[in-house]
Amino acid sequence: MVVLALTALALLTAHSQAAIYCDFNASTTCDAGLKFVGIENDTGGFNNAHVQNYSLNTYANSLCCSTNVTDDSIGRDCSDVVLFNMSSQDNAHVQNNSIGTYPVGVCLSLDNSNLSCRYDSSCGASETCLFSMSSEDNAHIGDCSEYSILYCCSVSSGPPPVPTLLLPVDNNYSVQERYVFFDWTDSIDPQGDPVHYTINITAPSGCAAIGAINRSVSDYTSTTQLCTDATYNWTVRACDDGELCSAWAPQANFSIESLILINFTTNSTDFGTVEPSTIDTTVENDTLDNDPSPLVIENVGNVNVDVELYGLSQLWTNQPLNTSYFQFRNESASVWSNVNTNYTNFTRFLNFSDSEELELRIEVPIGEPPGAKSIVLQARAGASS
Amino acid sequence: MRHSYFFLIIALILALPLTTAFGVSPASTSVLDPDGNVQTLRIINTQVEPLELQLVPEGNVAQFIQLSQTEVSLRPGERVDIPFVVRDINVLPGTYTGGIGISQKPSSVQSTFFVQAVAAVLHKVEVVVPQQGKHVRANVLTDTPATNEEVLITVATENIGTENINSLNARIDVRGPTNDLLFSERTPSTPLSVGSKANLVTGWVPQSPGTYLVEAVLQYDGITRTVRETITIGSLELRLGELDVGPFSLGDIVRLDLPVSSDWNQPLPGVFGQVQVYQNGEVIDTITTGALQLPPRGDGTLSAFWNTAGLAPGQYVLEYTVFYGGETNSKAFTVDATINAIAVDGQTGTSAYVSLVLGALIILAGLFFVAKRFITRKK
Repeated sequence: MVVLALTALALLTAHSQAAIYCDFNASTTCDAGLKFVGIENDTGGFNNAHVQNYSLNTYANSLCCSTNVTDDSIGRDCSDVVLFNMSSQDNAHVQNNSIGTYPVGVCLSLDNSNLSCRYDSSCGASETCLFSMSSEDNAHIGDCSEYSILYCCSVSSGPPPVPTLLLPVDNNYSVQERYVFFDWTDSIDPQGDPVHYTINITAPSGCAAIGAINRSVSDYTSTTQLCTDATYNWTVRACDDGELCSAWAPQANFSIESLILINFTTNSTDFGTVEPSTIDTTVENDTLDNDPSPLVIENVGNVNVDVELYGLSQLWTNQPLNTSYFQFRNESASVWSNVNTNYTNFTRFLNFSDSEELELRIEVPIGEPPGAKSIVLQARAGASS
Repeated sequence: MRHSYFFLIIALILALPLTTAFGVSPASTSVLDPDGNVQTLRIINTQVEPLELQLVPEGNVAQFIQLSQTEVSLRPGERVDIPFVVRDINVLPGTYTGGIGISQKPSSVQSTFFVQAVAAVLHKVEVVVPQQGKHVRANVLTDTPATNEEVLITVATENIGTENINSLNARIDVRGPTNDLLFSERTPSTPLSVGSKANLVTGWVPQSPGTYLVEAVLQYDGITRTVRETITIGSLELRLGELDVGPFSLGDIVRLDLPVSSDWNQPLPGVFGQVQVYQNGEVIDTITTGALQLPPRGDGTLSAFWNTAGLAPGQYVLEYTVFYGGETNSKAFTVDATINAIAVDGQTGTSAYVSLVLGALIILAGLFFVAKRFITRKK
């Protein structure tokens, strides 16, 4: 019997399934576990036996129970289950607890885990048999192979603790990053089992719904850009590998504040001294070869923007804007556009932190009078549709 | 006579610094049913110089907008909130667009270099004047689209009419490139009061990457309306197989076959390859294959023909680059070439010569066996 119990313990431990098990120890004390009653029959054995209070120590055998839940301990508290009731403190018959007419209850408890027990003719896969009884009432006791009324118990270990949400901070309505970083505290499973997390992000109306995300670590960065200027709710729960889960963490809110911000990292260029064009020779120059350098603009906000361009003044004396004498293009375009007196599309920044070179081309008009030539271009960014 | 143009760096300290960067938040404002709502935009001076800005409403929303101030000065790092009222004016129902242009004041703009640039921002404003009756506007959104994972399809709806909607739902269909219906599901119904929004959501698991058409047939209080959106699932990637070398004899033209396969749900035309042949790290030859069209979720083989005339036995690296739909994918193979054989990454290709010799030996062995039996019988 001891061998059977130890085998069961080994199997249960190998599968990490929380369990409680009992052994009929041929002694007045327990080699392992906690004694619940003394047991003895007419021949000194433990089947077809009477029972006595665990403290009397006059019966030859002991019902000893243990658990494999490492950070839990077994006790005789009646808050969890009553194994049976005894007719008296000594030389007693036993009775199904639900009948309730025997005066002495024999109780079993676990400090942390949940214990669930029942009388039945067979035990389930997740249950262990602790002992058997000859009948529901006025009964003798034996090991699980003795009688058809078995006492079956299952243990469910406690779930991991509820994580605490850290980032984004609750009620932060000025998050800047579109790929939002979510962070929460680690949950340590009471039984030391591996823990995984489910993060649930509720998108506001008008924004794409996001499915529940499973993570093995306690953080997550969204793989898509989240909406701006609308409130998201989020929460996390922790589960062990037996899918025993904590409650959801108290929900937190945040929103991303949209920001348009473009920056000229190079905002001026100098074409230097140029010769006048003649009927035979057209003098032109551009920034494609970085001589002179192009203007450089970058998107440092958190929304995609369209950038449009126009000239605030006239460059040449003899030629107005919107002619081929002063043109621009972005670095990936293949054709030049005339700098205009109205806004003209320049580029679309589809990614944040992108930068773009504003290439310029001049062609000196014939007959242009000598002198210093200058112009200011205005580049305007607006949110992409 | 030759004229020379020149320019001088003058009056630099007289001019105000040019605006190279400032921020505006939020990026846009949308107002449904204007009733004198007060909105706010924030301007942030991110540069180390002071800013002198002007604000000008523009577009066909300009008539709705009443700015609390049209000019603003900001110290370096300062941020200022600018309230503005979106007025209720008597105009036809519809959607009005435009915005508030924010730029450097012209009086403070002076160029001291040949070409200078200043930054400006358009804070977009949309004003929706509700239409009489029951009207819903909707658009289709998706979360991270990946193959073999559930894609959440969201139909974002907004009541832009003047009446509440008692029951709104959508049948969401997903169609493949040949308009074949791959998925159809109706969302639960929800009421939608005037001016409110609701997301109608369903989940769909795509089987292969590619482009799909999402069609949402909205039904609300006896009215049917359809919105469509093309979505892309996954990315366009070709899988490259192992190099197969045809009959080999150094000095001949050798066929280099590379199997390619596509999971994309549409045909891929114009797939071609380029093989660069390296010897001791130097490119000694570049070969281009013909182009082929891969069928949806189909396979094909690219063939390059390598002229090995004049090459010495030794080790070569063949880098096979495949071009498709604006993308490329490469795979390199190391080959050991001898006079009559070539080994590719551990696979040995038998030369035509060796094959011929082996075949002749087998025939000779057969003839010998037959002849021996004939001689034995004669005895």
